[in-house]
Amino acid sequence: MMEGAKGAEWSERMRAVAVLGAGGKMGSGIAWVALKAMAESDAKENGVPGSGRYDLVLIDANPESFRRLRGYLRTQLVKVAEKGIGDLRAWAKDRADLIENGEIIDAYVDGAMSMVRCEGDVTGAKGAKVVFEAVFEDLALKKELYSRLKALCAEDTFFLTNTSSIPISLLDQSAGLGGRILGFHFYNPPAVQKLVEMISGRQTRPELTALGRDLGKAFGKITVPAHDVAGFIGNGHFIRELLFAFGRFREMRAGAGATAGLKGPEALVTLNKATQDYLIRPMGLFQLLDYVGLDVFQMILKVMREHLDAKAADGVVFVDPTLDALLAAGVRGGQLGSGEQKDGLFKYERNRIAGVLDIDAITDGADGADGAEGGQGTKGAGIRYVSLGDDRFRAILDDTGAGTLGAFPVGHAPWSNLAKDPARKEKLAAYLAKLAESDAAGAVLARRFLARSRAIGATLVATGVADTHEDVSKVLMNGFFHLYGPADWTH
Amino acid sequence: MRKPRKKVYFGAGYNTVYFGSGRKEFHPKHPMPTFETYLREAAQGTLAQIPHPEFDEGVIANFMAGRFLKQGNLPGFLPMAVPGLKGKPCVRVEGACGSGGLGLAAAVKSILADMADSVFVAGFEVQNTLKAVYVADVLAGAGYFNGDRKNGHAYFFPGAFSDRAGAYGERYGKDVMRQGMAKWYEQSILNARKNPKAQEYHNTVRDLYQLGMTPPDGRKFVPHLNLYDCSKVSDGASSLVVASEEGLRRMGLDKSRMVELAGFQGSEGDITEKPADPTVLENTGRAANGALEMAGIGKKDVGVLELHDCFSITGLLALESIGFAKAGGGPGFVLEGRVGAEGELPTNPSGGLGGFGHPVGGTGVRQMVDLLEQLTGKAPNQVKSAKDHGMMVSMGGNDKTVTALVVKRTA
Repeated sequence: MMEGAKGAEWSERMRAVAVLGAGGKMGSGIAWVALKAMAESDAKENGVPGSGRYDLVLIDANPESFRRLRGYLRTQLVKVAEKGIGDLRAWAKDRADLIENGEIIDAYVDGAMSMVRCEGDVTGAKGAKVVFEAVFEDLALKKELYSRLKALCAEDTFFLTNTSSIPISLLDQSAGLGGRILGFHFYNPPAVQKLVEMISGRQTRPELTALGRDLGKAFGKITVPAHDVAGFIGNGHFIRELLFAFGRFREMRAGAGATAGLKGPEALVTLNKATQDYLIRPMGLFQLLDYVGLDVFQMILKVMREHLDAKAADGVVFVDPTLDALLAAGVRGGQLGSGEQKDGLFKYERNRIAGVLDIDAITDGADGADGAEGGQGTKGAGIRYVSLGDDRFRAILDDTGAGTLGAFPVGHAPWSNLAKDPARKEKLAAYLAKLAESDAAGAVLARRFLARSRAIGATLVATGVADTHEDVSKVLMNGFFHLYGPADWTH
Repeated sequence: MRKPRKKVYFGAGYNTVYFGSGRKEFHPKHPMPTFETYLREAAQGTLAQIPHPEFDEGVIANFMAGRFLKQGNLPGFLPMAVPGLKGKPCVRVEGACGSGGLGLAAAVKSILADMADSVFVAGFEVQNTLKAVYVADVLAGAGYFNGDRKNGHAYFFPGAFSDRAGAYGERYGKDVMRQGMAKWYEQSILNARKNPKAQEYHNTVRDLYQLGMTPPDGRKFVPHLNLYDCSKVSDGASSLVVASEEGLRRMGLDKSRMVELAGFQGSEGDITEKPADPTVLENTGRAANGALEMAGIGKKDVGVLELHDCFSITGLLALESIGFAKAGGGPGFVLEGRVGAEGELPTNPSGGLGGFGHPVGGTGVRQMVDLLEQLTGKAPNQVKSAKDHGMMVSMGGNDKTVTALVVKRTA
């Protein structure tokens, strides 16, 4: 069955692909990544896509999503066709009827769209050789789905799940897939993010792992192997880091530590700024939480709690009382279908932070002790935001060095500048050395996060989730756009 | 060579802003001025300089309004812009990017044939209605569609002139060619920065030469040109009046504000043929030398030159093909600063096609407006030449439809 070159194997299998949950945020991105690769293969073989030799079935329980999904795919196709017109012309060189750029682009887009079939039921996946699954992160749902897929699909069909936290072996066993499943975890948005975490379960077949690597290449992605421990590398780090941030939040509000005695909104703004500006990251941790969505975060937390307690060598407890209170009050975050950021811990205007949640009206952390929030501290008041332009935040947001967080260490530059700087490696090393010596409150706070991040990285390697520190760095740099890895903090 | 049998004058020139990426007010997603707006503005700019604007004929130069704007029958827009042209003969001329030069020649011939004493001439193009990848399709119509388009580059004309640059670099040295092209780019932008209506007027790049030295990347664009070697997608219109002495009297125009035609020459190549020698612009050379000969002057008498530099390599090749520089000597000629605003042969003080912009049907008319301003001392980027003559070369396609005109001061 597995004959021929590796490349031939993936391109053979890519002739019949299904994406489950294709109407969702991740699913639609995965559908695009697959369609792009399939269209390109078809064009290379047949001049333009649409030969009828490739079939992409997009499945979603909500057929309402299909019109938007098709529109999204078409828009993306036009973009890559216009940009790649040189390649398109070369592939279509034998098509005497296609002469102008416009004709070739239209033929490419129409041909590629003709590969796409939208279905409202999982039975549409019958006949697929590769199934990408990106349904909601819910174990019961996934178990049921894989049992149906097993009955429906051919015995040589491979399944690639986008789960970000559920152990692969668990899915494998519960549906009796016999190792035909691989964790293939895209980052959001899949069209843009280069990283795919690739997780083999205990029985995952080696040829499937090899296929995953080839697919990653065909999709233009960087694949990083992670081991089958709930949360894998990316969420293993992110979840722990955010739990740490919530801990610091409560501590700050309760009156311990260097920047103590703050009101809730001030504490949120302080921590978010410190973790963005002083750590030189694309966004602060609480903004990232809004981006991911508090509900999605909670779901991952739950999965990790259920599968990790025994294995969490660092003794982390995967529950957070502040998060529980926020969710109970209806604070969600996440994005609209258009990609627009919804309000969460912050209020957004055109995807930029404009205000901060009056969190004290929702939860005041009654006795103030870490982990003691929740039930008794919950006030249950409505969701209100305070404008960041308010005087109370001026000293926190001050970048002149006169504010409460103090001056940036020498060598500081915004993330967006350094991300483009070819000499960023050296510049960051110099900056981190200065950060280590600074007395500024922002730097002191940042150092605690760096130490925590480094410890988390060490845990992930020590417990076998990641093979190496480099793999942890690869995930954080490519999936989270950090400019340096946890192990680069040596101070 | 014949001399013009009577005096012909050019005056009342006007250019709209040449609009496109690079202008501060440009945003690809925002609504942009329509072609009617450009035509009206240009016409009003010309009419405002004429006490009694009475015309016998109208000429409108344009390349591809049929595709950019889905609009044909362009002569009908002349009376819209110039009400006095209602009921008068009007004609549209088309010779790709050389349309403007053809339009000027058509007007000149009407005067010389005693068929008209005053002719209104406008040239325009509006191209920002399409994205660059589709603009390339439309402009490819300036080449031989049935013969060359299928195997041509996605960006057809950059591809064609990249081939010329490739052959030139092969024969005379890639490095010196690249340096000459970078210098050409730098000079174009520096000149454009002094012309408020130029597309690159707002350009603030510090090291233009360095940018011009960017190595071409054949995978992303074409093998021998970088993006800075190319004129951009532009919108705009230019207009002026062509008149006999009688026409000037009738319109109440003062000769001192005019320039006089000294010589002109057209030269056409077979569009289905490849250039015999890709390093030579044969028709450019023939037209320019014919025009100089009719004017009875030598190359050293040219005080200001407007060349058709759709690509930086085209500027270098034109200098050599006309004979201002020897074969292979174009880059050195430019690098020595001889075509700078202060040099012996001030060339494209407007910024040229790369700096001022290149709405293809407008460019030829724009070149004459700039010569007119230079020789009457009214140019925003005025050169200080004591010489009385100026020359422009308008080129369509890959050196196929070329018109050169030589004009001189009247005062």
